[in-house]
Amino acid sequence: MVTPIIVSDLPVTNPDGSMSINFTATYESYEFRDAIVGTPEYINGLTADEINTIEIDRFNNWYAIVTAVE
Amino acid sequence: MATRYWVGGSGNWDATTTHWSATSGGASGASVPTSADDVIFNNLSNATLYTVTLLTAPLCASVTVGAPASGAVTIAGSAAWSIYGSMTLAATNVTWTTTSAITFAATTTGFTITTNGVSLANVITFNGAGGGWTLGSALTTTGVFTVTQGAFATANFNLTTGAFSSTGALTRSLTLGSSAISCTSWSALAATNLTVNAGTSTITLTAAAGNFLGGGLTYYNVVKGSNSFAIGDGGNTFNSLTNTTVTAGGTFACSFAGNNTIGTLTINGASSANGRASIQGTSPGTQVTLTVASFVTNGYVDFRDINFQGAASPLTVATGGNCGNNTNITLATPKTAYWSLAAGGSWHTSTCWALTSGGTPALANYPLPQDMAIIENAGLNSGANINFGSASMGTLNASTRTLPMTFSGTGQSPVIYGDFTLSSAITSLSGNFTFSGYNKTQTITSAGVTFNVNSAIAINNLSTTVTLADAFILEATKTFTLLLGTFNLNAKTASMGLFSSTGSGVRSIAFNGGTMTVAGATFTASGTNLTTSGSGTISMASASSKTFAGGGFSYPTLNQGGAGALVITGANTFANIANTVQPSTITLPSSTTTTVSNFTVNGTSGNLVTFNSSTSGTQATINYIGSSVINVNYLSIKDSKATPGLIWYANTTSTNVSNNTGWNFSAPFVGNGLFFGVPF
Repeated sequence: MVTPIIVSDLPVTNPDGSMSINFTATYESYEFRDAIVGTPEYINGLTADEINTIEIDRFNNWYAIVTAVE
Repeated sequence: MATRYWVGGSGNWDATTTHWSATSGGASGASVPTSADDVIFNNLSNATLYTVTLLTAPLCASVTVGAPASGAVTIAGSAAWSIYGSMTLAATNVTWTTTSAITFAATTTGFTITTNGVSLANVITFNGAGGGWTLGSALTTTGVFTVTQGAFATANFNLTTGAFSSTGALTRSLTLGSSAISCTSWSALAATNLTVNAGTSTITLTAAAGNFLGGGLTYYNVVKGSNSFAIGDGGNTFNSLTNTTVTAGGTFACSFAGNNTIGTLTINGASSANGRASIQGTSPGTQVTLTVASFVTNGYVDFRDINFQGAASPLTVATGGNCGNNTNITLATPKTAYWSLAAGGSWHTSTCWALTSGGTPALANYPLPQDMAIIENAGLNSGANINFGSASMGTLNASTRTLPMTFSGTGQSPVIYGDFTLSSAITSLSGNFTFSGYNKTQTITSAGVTFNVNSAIAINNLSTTVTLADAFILEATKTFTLLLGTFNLNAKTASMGLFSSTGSGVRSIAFNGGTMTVAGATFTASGTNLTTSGSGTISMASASSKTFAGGGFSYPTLNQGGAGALVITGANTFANIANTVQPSTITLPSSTTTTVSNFTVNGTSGNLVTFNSSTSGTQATINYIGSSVINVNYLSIKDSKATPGLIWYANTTSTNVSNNTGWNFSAPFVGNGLFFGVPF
């Protein structure tokens, strides 16, 4: 597991009423762009540490896939 | 349009109403969702963890998967799932084990795919005329990802897939924004009605082969992290195309099947001269044009069939290898390198090459495709082995070697661009050798050494002529393949297990009095553009059944040279059909004309040669185009039509089994200087 550099946006409200926290995680030359999406209750209930944990986990799940080649 | 809520915990999504409610947490028994109905799994679907198994091709409009009151919902099963709206998965407590093929089939726009960190293992297809989908978060699936029709946009999120495909002619678009897209391969082959809005995206190819078929469209950055890639078509434009590095010794192809335009082309070999990236076309001997604004390399690269144009042209790579047929590229001056590692080892992973006989080796001396590599007694112990690996070799010269040694290359594929000269001191030789020199004659001097059971031979360059200096032996089960170029037997014998020459490449066999002995089951020729020249013999020597699949081409003498029955297919032309073994069988293709200039098949008393058709009861025609008569003995003939009439004599020694025409089972009349009326 690696520790990427996370840049996390402020939550935004989607057209369907859900909310998203867009983030970018980078590690060396690997850049991962994703969003945490959920109801306003869910998104607003997340602490900064929980958000950071989710973002790091998602990056590492992706990183494991794209580096497991050849 | 209705909304259907899953209720009642674990169960199957099938044709029953057991788990469907019209209200959240309500009574079951509502109708099974159709393509017009939204489906929701939520906290009232069950109190605790549960599993939904997809059966009988579920349908829905949009689907929202949320967690139960506690625990996780597992979506399982493998039935094909058609979704006519959006898909939204909750960020937590969703377990996704389904391997269903998922088709997003909406015909209107405005839908989103939000997987929220849930990795999928599904084949995903977007196929709705007029449909439009946008990612709501990064999407990862190990399955094939296909956009057949409709508009798909990444919204700058990462997209990670198995193979990416958007082929065909239906109207569709890809809007890639600034996304990082990772896929095992990319195919928009021969795509029409496809619009790619590449934005500033980066497509990274993750499979070892690195295949990219762009469909002649414009892309931004395309990256292959290491070793090989294959741009499988032409007409593409790239902002940048990168092969970051080579991770092992040997040669790794970065190939282009057509002309492409590239802003910045970055191709790196390994960190030293013995790990090389080969920038090359895909049809040896035929150039592709790369129009490049800027070229970046660490110098450990080879070039073959590249016409280099654009602002980066002319190009000089002082350490570059030259496999031939390059334009506007200046590469390293040819040199001679001497093996100088007493214990032997790999061609390309050891510091083993010197610039003088027995000299000090250095990686920088690694022999390039334009170089000569010399193996002699100095620098290599008696009995040592050299492993070819996947080297791109120039000329190999081991002619002065008198101490025993071996060459190994099992499963490896060295490509040879010069001569290949062995010595009788070599006690074992293996490898899948391809001779691919450009515009030259490549001479193979075997010195009695057999290419052993772990070997294969191919000739593959439009402009090469591979000539035998002496007898050539490829182990009796292995294949000699002629793809492009000329194989010149040069009056020598070439023995091989199987022979194959298929496809449309321009290729030829120059017999020049030589003999091809095929010891295995097949001689296979097909396609177009195969020619032969000169007199010679193809001897089918197997003691087991074998097939000469001639593909309708012309050949010199075909000899039945083994006890196994010989089946001939194709409307071929032969200078002669002969035999050296009897009894034996020669079978011609039924309802097909085989043309000969001579026919000298004979049995002996008690050892008849069976001459028949591939279909019992249906004649095979053999047509003689010479000016004499055919006079053979001790045949057993069945289903044979011999033309023209009056000149085919099987004599009374032969057996007229059935269904023959044109054959005379008598002796030809001889007298007065005429052989049944024909001067002799």
